[in-house]
Formats: sequence, C-alpha cells, structure tokens
Amino acid sequence: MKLLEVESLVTELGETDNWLRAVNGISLTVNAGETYCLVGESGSGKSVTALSIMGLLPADRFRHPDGRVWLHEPGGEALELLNANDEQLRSVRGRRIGMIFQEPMTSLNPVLTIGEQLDEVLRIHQPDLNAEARRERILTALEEVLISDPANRILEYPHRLSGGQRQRVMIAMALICEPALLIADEPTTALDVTVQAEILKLMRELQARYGMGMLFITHDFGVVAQIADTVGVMRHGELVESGKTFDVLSNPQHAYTRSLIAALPERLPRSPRPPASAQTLLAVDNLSVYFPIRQGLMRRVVDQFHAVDEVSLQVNAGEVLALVGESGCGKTTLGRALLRLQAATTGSIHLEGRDITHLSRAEMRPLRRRMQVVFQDPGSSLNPRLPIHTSLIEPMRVHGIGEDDNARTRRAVRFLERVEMPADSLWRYPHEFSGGQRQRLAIARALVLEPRFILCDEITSALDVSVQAGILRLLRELVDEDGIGMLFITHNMGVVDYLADRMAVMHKARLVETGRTAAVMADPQNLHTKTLLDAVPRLNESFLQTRSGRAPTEPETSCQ
Amino acid sequence: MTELSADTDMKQPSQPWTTQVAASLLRRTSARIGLSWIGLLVIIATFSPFLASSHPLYLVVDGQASSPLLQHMTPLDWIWLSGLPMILVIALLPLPLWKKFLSVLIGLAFTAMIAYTLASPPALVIYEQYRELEDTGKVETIIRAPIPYSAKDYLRDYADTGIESPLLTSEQRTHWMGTDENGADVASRMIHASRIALGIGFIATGIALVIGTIIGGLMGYFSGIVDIIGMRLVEIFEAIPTLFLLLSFVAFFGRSIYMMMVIIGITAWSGYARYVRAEFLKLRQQDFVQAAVACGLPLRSILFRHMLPNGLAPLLVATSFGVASAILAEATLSFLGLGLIDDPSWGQLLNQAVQSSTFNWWLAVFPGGAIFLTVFSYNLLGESLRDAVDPHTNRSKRA
Repeated sequence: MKLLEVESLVTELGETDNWLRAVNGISLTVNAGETYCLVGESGSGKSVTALSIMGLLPADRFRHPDGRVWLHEPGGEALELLNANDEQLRSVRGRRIGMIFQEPMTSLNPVLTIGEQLDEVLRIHQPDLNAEARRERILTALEEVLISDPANRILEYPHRLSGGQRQRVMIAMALICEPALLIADEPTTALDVTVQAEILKLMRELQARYGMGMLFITHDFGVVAQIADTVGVMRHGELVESGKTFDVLSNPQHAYTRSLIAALPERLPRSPRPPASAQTLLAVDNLSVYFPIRQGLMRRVVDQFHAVDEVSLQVNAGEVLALVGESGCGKTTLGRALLRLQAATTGSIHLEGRDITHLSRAEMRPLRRRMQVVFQDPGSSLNPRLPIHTSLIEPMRVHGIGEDDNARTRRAVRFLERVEMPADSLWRYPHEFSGGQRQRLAIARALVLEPRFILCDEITSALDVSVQAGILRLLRELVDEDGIGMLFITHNMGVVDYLADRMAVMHKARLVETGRTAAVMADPQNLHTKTLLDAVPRLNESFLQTRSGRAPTEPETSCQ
Repeated sequence: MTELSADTDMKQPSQPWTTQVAASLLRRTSARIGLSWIGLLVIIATFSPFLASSHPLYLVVDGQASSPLLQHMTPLDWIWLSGLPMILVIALLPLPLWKKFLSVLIGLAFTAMIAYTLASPPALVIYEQYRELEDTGKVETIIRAPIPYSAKDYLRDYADTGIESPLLTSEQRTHWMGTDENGADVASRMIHASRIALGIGFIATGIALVIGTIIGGLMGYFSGIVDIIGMRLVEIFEAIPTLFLLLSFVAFFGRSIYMMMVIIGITAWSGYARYVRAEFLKLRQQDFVQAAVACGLPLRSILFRHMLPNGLAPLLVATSFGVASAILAEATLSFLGLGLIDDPSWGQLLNQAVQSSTFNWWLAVFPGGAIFLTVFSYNLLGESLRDAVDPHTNRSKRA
C-alpha cells in the first residue's frame, strides 16, 4: 500500500532574487511496512527533501516551483502536503508522520522532564485521553524502545540520559501516536557503532510490529545494507539511481553510485606494501592519565577519573597502528598524552629511544618536530585568521628549517604538492577550502617539520566517503614512501581495515586487544572487540552473496 | 564532490578576516552614521583652536603682522594637530596591527616631548585686547576663527555678560548657541569640550582594555589556580562602584581629567577580562591551538598570534560600548558639579541648564544633544560590529 508519494519535487532555497535549487525533481514512493533509504554525500539535498515533506523549512526562505507530495490516508483519500495549510500540517505532523533528527543531544528540551515532553505530544494529538491513560501510553512507549525502569525515567531530565538513550526517547516520542510514516534524518550518525547497531535493530523491530513506512536518510552504505528495502542515491539534488537495495548495492547502474561504493574504505584497491621496519619509533609503557575529581571549598582531590589506565603500545617506522574504541574510552586522551599535550600520571613514553615523559616545555620544543598531529575537525584545525602561508612557514621558522622565508616558501609549496594541493593555496585563508582540502592542509602543516611520527585523531570522520578515500590513499603513500610511523585513532572499522598494519582496541581506558589487523578482524579474542566488530554495519561480500535484501527482523543474538 | 565544487570558489581573491569585517561593517548604514559622527568629532577636536578662538589667526597692527593664535597654541593643541595626520599615515602603512599600535604610541610620546619643550604660550592670556584694538581702529587686517570666542573668554569687556539665550544676543556679538552663566560662548566651549569627550573615552577604555586582556588572557590560558585568583580579583573590582570612587578621589585629591581616565580605566577592566577569559578557555581546546603547541611554537606566538586575534571579536564590541559609558561617566561627574573647574565639558554645560531659576534650554539642548549623539554613535558602531563579526547574522542576511 502506498503511503507517501513524492512526485518530481523541486525545492529552492534563498530569498527574493537569489534562489538555489537544493532538490531537483525527486520522485519516490514509500510503501507501508517498507523502508526507503535516501543516501548521498553532504550537500546532496537529502535533508532538504525530508524537511520539504514535513514542511519544516524556514518560512519565506524556500519555494516549490514544481512537485507534489501525497500522503495517503487509510480510507483512500490523500492529502497534498506542499499546499496544505498550517492547520492541516499540524494535524499530520506527529500523528501521521513522526520525525527523528540526527543530534540526540539537542533534540530534547533540557528544561522539561522526559515524561512531560512525551505527555505534551499525546495531549495535543489525542486530546480525548485522560491523564491516567496518557501515562499508560507513555510507559508502554518507553518500554517498547527498551528503556529500563520507565516509571522513574519519565521523571528525569534529558541530561541524565546517554546519547543512545535520548535517541530511544526521541523514537518513543515519534512513535507514541503510532504514525503511519516515520522520517529519520541520520538518526544514528552521532552515536557509537555499538549503540547504532542497537538502535537500528530496534527500529527494524518496531517497524515490523506496526507496519510503518520509513523514510531513512543516511550517508552510510553499511546502514543502508542493514535497514533499507529500497534505496535512492542522491547527488546535487537529483536522484541518480533508485531500486531494490540488493540490486543497487550489488549491481549499481549509475557511475556515481559505483564510485561511492568503490570509495568505501574496505573496498579501496590496495597496493603491495613494502616490508615493515623493525625500528621502534614510539614506545609507550604502562601509561596512565588520571584526572583528579575535586570537591568542596578547598578543592580537595576526592577521587581520580581514570582516562587512560596502564596502556602499553609501540609504533614502528613505516607502520600504521590503528587505535579503535567507543567514544569516551580514552583514545584521544592517550593521543594527547603521547604528544605531551596532556601530562601523564604514571608510565613512560620513549620517542626514538629517548624518554620524553618528563622533559620540560623548553626541552620538548626541539623534539616537537619529530612528532606531529592532525586533528579531527577540519573546521578548527587551521587558524582562521592566518593565511595558509603563515600557518606553514611559522613552525619551520621556529625550528630553523630553511635559511630564509623564500626557501621556506619553496619548501611549503613542495609539501603542498605532496598533499595534492595547488601552490596558490598559500595565500588563501582556511574558510576558502572545503573540509577535505583543510585536512590536506593540516597534513601539510604536520609534514613540513619532517616528523618521524604522526598522530591522526579521527581525521576522516567528518568527511564524505569519496573525500575520505583520497585522504586515506595519501596517508598510505606517506607511510610507505617516507617510512613515517603513524597512530591512527578512529572508530571506522573500514578505515582500520584499509589503512592499519596493526590495531589496538581500547575499552574503558584500558587496552583490551592488540594484534595484526587481519588477525584481529578475523578472529577477535576479546569480548569487547567482538562486540565492536559485530556492530559495524558493513557492505561486504557476504552480505551481497547471502542476503537478498535487508537483514532479517527476527531477534538476533544480543549485542550486549 | 565537495573538493570539486570548492575549486570554483578558489578564484575569489583572498581577504584577511579584518578586511572582511571592515567591509561588512562599512556596508551597514548604522555603522556609517556612527563612524561619520565620530569622525566629525575627531576633526572638530583636532582643529578646535582654529574653529573657536578669541585670538585672531592673522593680525596686522601698525604695519606689524603677527598670528596671536599660533602664539597661544598650547602643547596639547600641537599634539592633537600632529597626532591625527601621524595616526592616519601609520594606519595606511603595510605593518602588522601590533606594530602600528606601537608606532602610534611611540610617535605620540615623541610629539608630546617636543611639544612640551618647544611650545610656550604666554601664561597670562588677555582675550579682550583684540576687541579693544579693533575698537580703537588700530587694526589694519584681521582674520578671525569662525567662532571668534575662546572657551574661557568670559567677555569681561562687555559689562553686561551673563547667561544669554541664542535668540536674545545683542547686535555687537553673535552667539550661535548662546552663552553660559559666566558669559562664555557655548558653541566654543562645546567645540573645545569634544577633546575631553573623545580623550576620556579612548584613554579610559584603552587602559581597561590592556589590563583586561592581560589578566583575562592569563586566566583563560593557564586556568587552574591563576583562574581562581583572577576571578576573585575580577569580582572585587566589579564590586567597586565607579562613580562613588570617582567622587571620593575628587574630594581627596582635587579635580583632574587624567585621574578620572585612570580611575574609570582601572575599574572597567573586569568586563573585558571576563570576555577574554571565556574566549581563551574556548580557544585553548581548539585544534589549531593544540597543533601550534604540538609544532613547538613559543608561548608568545600561541597567545598573541594564534589565540588573541581569534578572541578579539567580542572584545571589540564590548569596547565600543565601553567608550560610550566612559563618556557618560565623565558627563555625569561634571553634571554633578564635580568635574573640571575651568575647562569646558559637555556635562558641566548641561548642569548649568538647571542651575538658575529659569530653564536655559540652549544649555540643555546642545550639550545634551552632543552627548546623546556621541554615545548613540558608539552604540550604533558596537551593534554593527557585533553583526559584522557574528557569522550567524551574516548567514541569515545572505541565505
């Protein structure tokens, strides 16, 4: 049964004389009990499509020159959403269409309890229910999304819940009026993979129970493979390809879909590796980082928070060690402690055989050029007020590389070519570059000092897959050709699979497993490693060979 | 895909952030209004001896040509006159901002030294002599300033002086804005008072800004115990009521414009320190600052090249509001009769409007209007600066 029908939808954003076409002639159909996945890179118009359907675009800043969106009612009549008035839209939103947003941290109102927020939805859409009945409904809804002890939970405020729990509450809120259609805009992107796996499983189960239609927006082909019945690939506001998930993923017709799937890190072509060097570059011994928890007037230390607990690892020259783990497990703190950006509580760090754990700031300075870092967020990794030239030249000047600024500029140009950026980038400012380009520039800034060791802290997690593929290829080359040692912090198993020689898994501040990537991936010894690997939604050969569609909805072995 | 689309943007000329903010500021009407009034005020303040003075610019008596105006110029007049072109020239030089700032300071100190050694106006000033000379017919040629009365010329030669409305002045004299209770020309006093208004705003805010940036920067960067001590210091200074401190200092040490500037400056820094601290706390965690530390850059470069320029935006906005409130503080003090004694000030003129039994409207309208316009201009400037540096308002304008 057809539930939602979008007919050549065109959405333009802008103002009186300046319109930008964000969605260009999209047609799709969502049937009851089915999931339609819209997949595409950032800026492809996925979210604008969802917002257009819900009528949630900013007032007076959009127009629809063309298109129809029909929401079919069970009785047979249909409501056209684009030209519906506010009253009609309000009655449809929440009751017929539920929506889940990407960011669980901000989609709940922090000053109201969970119960009050759920209650409000019910009060508006089901005014005939009395308080007692509403409470029953709320408790059932929270039980359905597997929130433990709902009777107490409804009295709590959102900050008491973790990201995954909040997303569950959001789902409960979207489903409480039993909508026929659920629109989910990247609902799992901000969550850890293990939590993502649970949420996806929950959504599949709920869909099977209520027979909802679902419009699911994502950028992750792994998620598509897990949840979608039908998939539509978007690019520049157009639907370039759509069809049954299995058909599209196993036999993509459009060149863009093919390039997107080929850009998945686990599917990138791998070049033969030079033999690994035995020279140890960086050795970490029993390193711990504790943060004191202070209380009271005198700021007395009452307890220690163990961010990193007795971690030992080593990185060889010409080797990539991947450090994986869930958010909050201490990966980034460990990285910062290695670089002496964060004081270590106990343990030792040796760089090329020299103990650097307790060197002073001044003694550390000449060693800084031996170890460099590239950070996660392309938006803040370069100083926005300085041209690239200054950002690249200043470290060289401080470390006495090159005789004068002309020589340094020539050097900077050479490294820009190395990271495949044009030489005239030197005179530009960071805001003129895209995320991927900024990460390349940040890599160039690290490289100009000719470091032996580079720490990469989730440097591709904010990037689109095709951009990520380019950066990963570049890093691979750097390690293979220059013999740099690299510690790559990530949560993306595909990236680990492509890039890392060895991997180390962290869980709750401790290192739980270390080993060669292929060995760990194939046969994880530790329970947490296993959980982490199982949770990763992947588009691998086994999926394409064995499954003819999405994963089955019957209960699987629990992840926990 | 993202990288391809960015290639088209690459053709745009690169502009530093400061240029972008300045350009976006100048596009706003309110900023233009504010800046033009402040600019006009700067010009009036600089050329005030030429605009309003009892001393003729050029005088020929008994075949002898002289320029009493130039002879009576005080060192302060010379500093203003040479300072403005100097600042304009330095502003146009291609130097980094802090070098410009430093050379302006050095230049001003240098001019002050020369001016105070060379310029020596006569200690006794007789304003009436030129009018008496004219009356006796000895004058062959005379060129006067547009308003031929000095700020402290109480017109003692006209025995009938006193408070006069601009509508009631006698045929002998024209006072565009009337006279005050001592008989001095209000227009002239207002022109000369513009220096005090500008000076107190800039210097008091400058002092507050320097103290606030240093203390706030240290608090934000080092945090921990430095932050705790710094914040207590901020709280102590926020508890001091500026106006009452000013009143007690005036009572004990007499009236001095410089003392007022310093007191307003050292009580107003706490707000700026809070802003800088908040910005630095935020910036310290930013990746590019961490990367700068990881590159082994010295602390000086991290603080002043990588952190301060990025945290400047809210400070600039606060500054323009701070200038306005410093001007108001001085005007308030003068209005209460505790300002300068003989030197002209807008607040003091305003005070006279209500002192006598009648309401002297011209003493309320003109100085009050000037205070209002100046404070309003700085507020307009602050508002537009806030919009110009805030990317959110920018985006909503464009989208």
